[in-house]
Amino acid sequence: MRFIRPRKLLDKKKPKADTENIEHSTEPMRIEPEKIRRKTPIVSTSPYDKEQIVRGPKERFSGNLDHNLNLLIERTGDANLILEEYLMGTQAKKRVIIAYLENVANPGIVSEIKTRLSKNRTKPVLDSSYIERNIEDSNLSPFPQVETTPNPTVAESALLQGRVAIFVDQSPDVLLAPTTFFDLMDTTEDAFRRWHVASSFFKLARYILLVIAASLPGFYISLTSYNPELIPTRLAFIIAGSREGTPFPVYFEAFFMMGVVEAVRMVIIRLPTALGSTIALFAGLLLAGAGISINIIGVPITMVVTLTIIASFGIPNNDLRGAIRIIQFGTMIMSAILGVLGFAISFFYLTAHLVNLKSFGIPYMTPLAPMEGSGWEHTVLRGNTKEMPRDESYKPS
Amino acid sequence: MKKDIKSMIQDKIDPRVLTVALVMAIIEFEILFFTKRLVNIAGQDAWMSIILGGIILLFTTYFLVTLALRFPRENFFQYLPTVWGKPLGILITLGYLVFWFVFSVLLLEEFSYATKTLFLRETPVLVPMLALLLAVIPIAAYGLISVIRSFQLLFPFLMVLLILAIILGLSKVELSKFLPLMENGPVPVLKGAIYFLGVPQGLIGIILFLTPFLSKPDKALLPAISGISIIICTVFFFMATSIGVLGVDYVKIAVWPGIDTLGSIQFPGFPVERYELWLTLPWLIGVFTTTTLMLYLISNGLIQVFNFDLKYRKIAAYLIAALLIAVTYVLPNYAYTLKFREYITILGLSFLHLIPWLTLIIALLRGKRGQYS
Repeated sequence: MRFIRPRKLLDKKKPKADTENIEHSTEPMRIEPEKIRRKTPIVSTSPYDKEQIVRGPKERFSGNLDHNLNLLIERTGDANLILEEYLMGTQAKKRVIIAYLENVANPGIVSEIKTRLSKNRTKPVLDSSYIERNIEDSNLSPFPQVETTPNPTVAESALLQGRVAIFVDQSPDVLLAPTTFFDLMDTTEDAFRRWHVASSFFKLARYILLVIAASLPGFYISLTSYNPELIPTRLAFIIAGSREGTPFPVYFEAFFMMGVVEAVRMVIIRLPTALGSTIALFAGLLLAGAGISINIIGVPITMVVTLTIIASFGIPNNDLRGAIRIIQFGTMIMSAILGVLGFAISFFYLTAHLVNLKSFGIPYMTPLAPMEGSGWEHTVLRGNTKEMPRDESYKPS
Repeated sequence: MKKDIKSMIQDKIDPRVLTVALVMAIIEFEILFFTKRLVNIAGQDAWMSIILGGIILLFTTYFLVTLALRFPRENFFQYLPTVWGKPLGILITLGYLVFWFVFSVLLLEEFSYATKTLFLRETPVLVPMLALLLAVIPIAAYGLISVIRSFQLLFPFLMVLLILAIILGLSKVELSKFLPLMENGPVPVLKGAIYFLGVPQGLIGIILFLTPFLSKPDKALLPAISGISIIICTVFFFMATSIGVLGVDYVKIAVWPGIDTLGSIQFPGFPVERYELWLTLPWLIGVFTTTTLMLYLISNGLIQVFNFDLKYRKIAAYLIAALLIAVTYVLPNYAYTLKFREYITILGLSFLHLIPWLTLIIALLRGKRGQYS
């Protein structure tokens, strides 16, 4: 296999800080953690942090692989930590390292990850996402089946749960596999917050926000377009009154407003400065205000769209947030065609997809479907334990 | 030895899942309609019929689990030929497949009628039926594990809405509407109990087909009894609220007593109104899950009977789904559907109780037993 090479086949012309310290082997190369620890450059943290937290370590992975590995080694301090190195990319070779804890990680999962890495077809490895898309179970699924994190604490926690971390040279985003839906809804503060009830409360709040983000515009379209009798009478009158004179049907208003919001979001991402945010905010307010004042769009749809956008930021994982945004449009289309029934059926489609989706053999909706009560303390809720709650989802069978 | 993911992570189900699976498989269209049929038989004593029928149902559940544990690594269709002999075994299997097919047709027909009445008055019924089946097929084709996972995923949504509906209904119950007790003697109560026994169509599909997938089949009894108990309680409370809120005379003439019951409840100042239409959401979930199970049972049963490779289950699921839609057009109107449904419920007594009991007795007499592993 040409895509995985042991360390001895490295291009010798390329200087590497730790080359002489790595033992050579025929299969993926095992690295002694002690040898990496000695040579670690000082790397500043990224100015753009997508996982900002109030409590907990603020360190972040950087583009330097040795620095990243050292962060992990220092954090875990575990004699069972195994590091295995691969060289990937048929055009531009790049170091890829998998890390896991022996006796904690499921050997079946580790073996499967190695197999998929060995089948990697990527030419250049520009970022860890190139590895991600080559090893995940389904490329067609909107849901990410591998978690990415710039946070060493998250990577350490994942290893302790029996998962595998994949480091790619020059990429600050570390891949964690396998991944369930509930891993993506987790934040580090859930674990670091003192009171478990507050943690569980905020976790549940995030799930409610997720449901709102995925369904609110679709639900609004289905109720107002097909089944207004489901809306309480006074509210129905208010909605009808505010829409009096608006020229477009509700679904058109909804799609238009969601499109505007997506455009504003893109402006903020492309111009991540105070000026960019001001332009986006000004443009958004101006458009909505002008639309409402000349009766092109109704006030309720503006509220629905705003609430949806706010709710979507309750989803901590960026990839999952992107997936929910697309699903949002799916529910809107189904609701516009079939009303409340279309809304319900769009969620049945989602159910059909989610129950068949797996991440490296682990059902994606574990521990809810299949239901494993022992996993709930670390995923759906946070248990009251003085030890670290263990998610049994990845336990060796 | 190299360990691969398939050997390390097996699709085995915790026995406790049986509780969820039974609730999701059995609750369906009957939420809206069941009360009417039972009240027509037993009047205001219908609640007694449920208690009496419920006790017998618990015994049936016990026998079904006993039968399943005799063949813990085979499903019902696999050991029917062993117990009954090959020709009879295949005949009974085909009987079940036809029974479930007709049941699914009626379920689909009721779904399309309710959809037309409640949601999409001008849309051809083919559209919602097709939309529903397109969601059902991928799950049914993937196998029972996926079916059960979908049940687990939807269980919280169904139960929260159902409990809410029951609490709302109970708050308006008038006990005087249950009097006089046993006005026509015990016979209508007994008849009602027998009718009730034919209702839980998904019972066999879950207990006798899920057991081979359980990690510890010997622990199946308690979860199965718990699941059936939840169903009995749910049906009992629905019955009690319908009679206690609407009265027997109204229930007899109502098309969907479940909806009318919640429709008569008002809480001024509460942010939600017209609770009856909110009941349609758990109903939709119930129809979806039951149809999924039935499509799996029929497609898998056909594959088993004709010894086809499992990879053809997806094709079988698509073909059966198409056939289900086609047959719904044979039924002339909704009155026929309701009448057929009554016949199916009565026929269900044989398929749900008589045949499994006889199978267990014959297996005991002939000393037939499956292997544990």
